[in-house]
Amino acid sequence: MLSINNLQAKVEDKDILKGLSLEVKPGEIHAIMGPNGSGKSTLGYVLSGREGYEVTGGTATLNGEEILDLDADERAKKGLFLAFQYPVEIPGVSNMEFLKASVDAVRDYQGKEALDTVSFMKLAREKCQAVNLDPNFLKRGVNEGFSGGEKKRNEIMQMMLLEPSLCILDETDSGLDIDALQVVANGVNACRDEKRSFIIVTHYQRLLDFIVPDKVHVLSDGKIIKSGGKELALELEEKGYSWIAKA
Amino acid sequence: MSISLQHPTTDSCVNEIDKLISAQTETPKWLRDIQRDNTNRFAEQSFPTRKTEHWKYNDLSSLRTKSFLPASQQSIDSQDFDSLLLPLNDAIRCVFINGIYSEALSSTELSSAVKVTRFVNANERQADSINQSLKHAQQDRNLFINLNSAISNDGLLIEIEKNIKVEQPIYLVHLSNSTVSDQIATNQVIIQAGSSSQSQVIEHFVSLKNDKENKSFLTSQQTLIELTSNSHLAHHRVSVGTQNNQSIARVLCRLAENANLSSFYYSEGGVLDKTDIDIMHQGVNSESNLTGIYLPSEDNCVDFHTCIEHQVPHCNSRETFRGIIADSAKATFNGKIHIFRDAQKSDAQLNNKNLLLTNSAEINTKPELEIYADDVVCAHGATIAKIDEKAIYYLKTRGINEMQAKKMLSIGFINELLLEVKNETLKEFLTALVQKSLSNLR
Repeated sequence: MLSINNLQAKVEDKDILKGLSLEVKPGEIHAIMGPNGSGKSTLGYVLSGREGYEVTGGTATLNGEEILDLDADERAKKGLFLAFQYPVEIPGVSNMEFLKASVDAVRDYQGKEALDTVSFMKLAREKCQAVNLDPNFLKRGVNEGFSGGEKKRNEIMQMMLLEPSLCILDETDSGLDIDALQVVANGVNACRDEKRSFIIVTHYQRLLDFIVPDKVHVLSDGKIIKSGGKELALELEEKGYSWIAKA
Repeated sequence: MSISLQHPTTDSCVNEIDKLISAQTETPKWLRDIQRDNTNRFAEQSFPTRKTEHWKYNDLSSLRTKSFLPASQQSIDSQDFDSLLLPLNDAIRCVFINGIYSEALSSTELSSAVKVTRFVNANERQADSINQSLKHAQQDRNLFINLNSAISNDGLLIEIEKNIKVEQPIYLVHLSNSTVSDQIATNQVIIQAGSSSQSQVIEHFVSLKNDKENKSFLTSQQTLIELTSNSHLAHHRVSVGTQNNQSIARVLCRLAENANLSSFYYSEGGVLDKTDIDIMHQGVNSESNLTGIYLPSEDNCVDFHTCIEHQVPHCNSRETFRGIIADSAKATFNGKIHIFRDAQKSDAQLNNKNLLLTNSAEINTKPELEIYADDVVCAHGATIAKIDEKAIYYLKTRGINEMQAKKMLSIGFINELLLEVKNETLKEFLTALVQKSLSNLR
């Protein structure tokens, strides 16, 4: 699925990722935890192709294909999805119009026919319900005036619509109450199958009560310094990060 | 007889206008007096230069070297004409060709609640009222507006009955047909809304000939709107396909107590496309909502100078202008809010946002506040930006390519304001137009 080898990247001349390697197999869920400033969000941005995040070394392949030279939209079409920590508000562009353009673009790439408006509306409404979002949100501007929880659920809805093969969730749980957290987790669990993989970036162990990861990694200073099973998350919750850094 | 703008103050220039007025034999005396009065005002002014604040961003030097003849009405092919119109089939339609009213192309009989009268046919009461309106309008000195009223020996008075909702939109078509160079087309319209009336006006500026070479055709137009107490008017002013014109226009609205004006402007710019908008709140509790969109491209210019005057207490005004400036086009926005000393409890807000698509696009924006009362709420702001990189990235991560993302974001930026268009036919027309003009983004 995803294979990252010795990835190095910098932002504005500051090295952030300093040789990160990670292997995610089809159907696996990997959690990435780590202190602030360790490079967790940068990993999502670099993999999704944000401008200004310069790769200085290493490789990353998705389904065997090198992706680091591709434009962000090309990567999305090839099945990479990033759920944003801070989704952007776009007044004037309706959520519906945005989602349709997005689904059309991905389907077109996959050689599938574009959905007609009626079928698309039906599908979008279904996905709204799945994440407990009022279908009226489809008519509003993209994320415009949405609460934090609504924005995150909107991200999960997009993920469900686009059916990507690799989903990166960047602190999707931050700021959510337990109810919203459960909705997000249910969304992820519903998308889970033997082919689709997830990278879940989080500060808090509690999300991992709902989405059980196969592996947990600790990112510190741009590198993965410890990997383990789901019990590692509990240990981190209890002891913090400093014990690993010392060891 | 041709009018040179080079030295408005000289006797020869005044003589030329005088000769012209004398040659217009059918003009009633009262109207001729107004023309002469404006001729004198015109002659007292000097030609604006780049040092004149109001004209700072407009290069008028090409006008200065020209002599202009008053434009004549051209006959036009009815098929050409029909294709230019908005599909407003039930509208009360008034058509001007090169500023001159065309009885043949107009249809004004649809509603008994709207009375359309040419100045030359005005009765005594109407003549008085026109006189007052024009006198009021000529107070602030504007060379081109004075010239307009000096040359124009006609105009159109539109009276809306009181206590009635006029279902049909009032559709004013300002058509320019600039086959001849060095002409000046002038036009003046007065709209009077009776008390507690409700109506819709659409002013549509459109050009028949797209003759890129003929850049010495000047149009000068003014619309005076008077809203009497408790009247509601939705006013739209749209110029489309007038890129080769030079246009200097002015809209003046006066609001009596409890009157409500919703005003919408759309322009793609031209060789010169300058509109001065004055909204005067003269009666308490009156409300105005002014919205504008400008989308100049290539080397076109667009200029909006707006002034909202709160002369009395308890009035509300909202003003939002947005522009997308492409290629090496140039836009100017100057928005002023003027709160008079006695206008306590005024609530005025003004906002101007601009997107620059290229490095050679130019915007000059200046919001101004002039406040003499102490218990008011006023806000103003202006922004100039490029398309938000973060938003482009967000759309790209969803599979939407960069071009399409830019297009969606530009249209979105404008879409919000199109919601303010009160006439559905016009809204559809403009939505399609915006889509089209922003679809060739690079």
